[in-house]
Amino acid sequence: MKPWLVPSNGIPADVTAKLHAQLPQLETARLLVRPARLVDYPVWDEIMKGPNGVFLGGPWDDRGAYLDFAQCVGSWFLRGFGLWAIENQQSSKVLGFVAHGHEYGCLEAELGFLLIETAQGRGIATEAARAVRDYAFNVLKQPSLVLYFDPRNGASRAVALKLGATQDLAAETQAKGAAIYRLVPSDGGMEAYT
Amino acid sequence: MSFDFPSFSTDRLTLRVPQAQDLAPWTAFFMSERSQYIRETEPTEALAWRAFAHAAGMWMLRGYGSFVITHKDVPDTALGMVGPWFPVGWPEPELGWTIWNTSIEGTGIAFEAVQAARRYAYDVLAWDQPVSYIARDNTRSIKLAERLGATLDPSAQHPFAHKDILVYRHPKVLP
Repeated sequence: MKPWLVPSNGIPADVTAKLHAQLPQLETARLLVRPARLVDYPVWDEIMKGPNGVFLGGPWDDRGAYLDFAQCVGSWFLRGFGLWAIENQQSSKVLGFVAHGHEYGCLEAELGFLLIETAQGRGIATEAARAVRDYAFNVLKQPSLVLYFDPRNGASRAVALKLGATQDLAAETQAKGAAIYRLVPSDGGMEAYT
Repeated sequence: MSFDFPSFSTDRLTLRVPQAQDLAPWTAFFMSERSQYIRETEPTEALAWRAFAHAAGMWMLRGYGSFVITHKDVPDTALGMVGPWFPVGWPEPELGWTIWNTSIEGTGIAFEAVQAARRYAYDVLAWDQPVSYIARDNTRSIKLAERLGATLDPSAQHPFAHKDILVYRHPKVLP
């Protein structure tokens, strides 16, 4: 394994464990949605370099994919929210990620989702993203979330609609080339937008 | 959210983990000519943001990373960053530093900070003779490396294909 992908041991491993113990975990019917760790990186690498990589800002090389991962994880530190890994509760296998972040130049927090190929088409992204959406609105009290994706990515559009997002056509005209959907908290509580 | 994380103090300084408020002084440094030795392209604010988020992410991923340097009595004002880190593609871990604030030049603060972070790398992380990558033209950093007792290691590999980089190796036993 590449040395920068080998998890630390000893004291730095304790530091990492202590940090993760302070972070939230979300449980859904089938999934555990929890902050991403170094051991999840191979799944990220697989997704970014797979057929959907072009929808995610790719094509990606080793260095670019890893830097993007580290930056998304760094958001936990800088923002108090960040990259979540989606874990199958039964098998503990990591199926993908929900990216919850606030990147440079973005006016509001963003929600994104990426899955390995075998996890697609089973409502996994919707189930995980819904949990993070509710956490963002109910716990973090974020006023809105924006979803950016490649307009050719029909799977992402379907998830956006299932989450209750609405298309922001004005922003799309400005952004040239990205599909932009927006989520806002519903007065009716969680159930109103499920 | 505040995290329970390593931070420690020296005579004059506190070294702590990066925080969101450090982005502004980091970006000012990154956008200035002072950062010419640590970047490979023209600087943009977006790149500065990504580089800083990457440094913060390393703490989460590896349980160690770069410390932000502050005066002991002014912990909110970041003066620079120093620390053990291991980014993608590096052949071995590195002790790196950047000094953002010119006001500390000539005060020995950079020396005090790097010495402390190096002590952390040796004592806590059990690192053995890490390297520091320094651009050949970066005379201030070269002077600092030499004052720290690091010596040129011409046989060591480095990850920068398009830059004239010197590899300094820190001593087996710290002075």
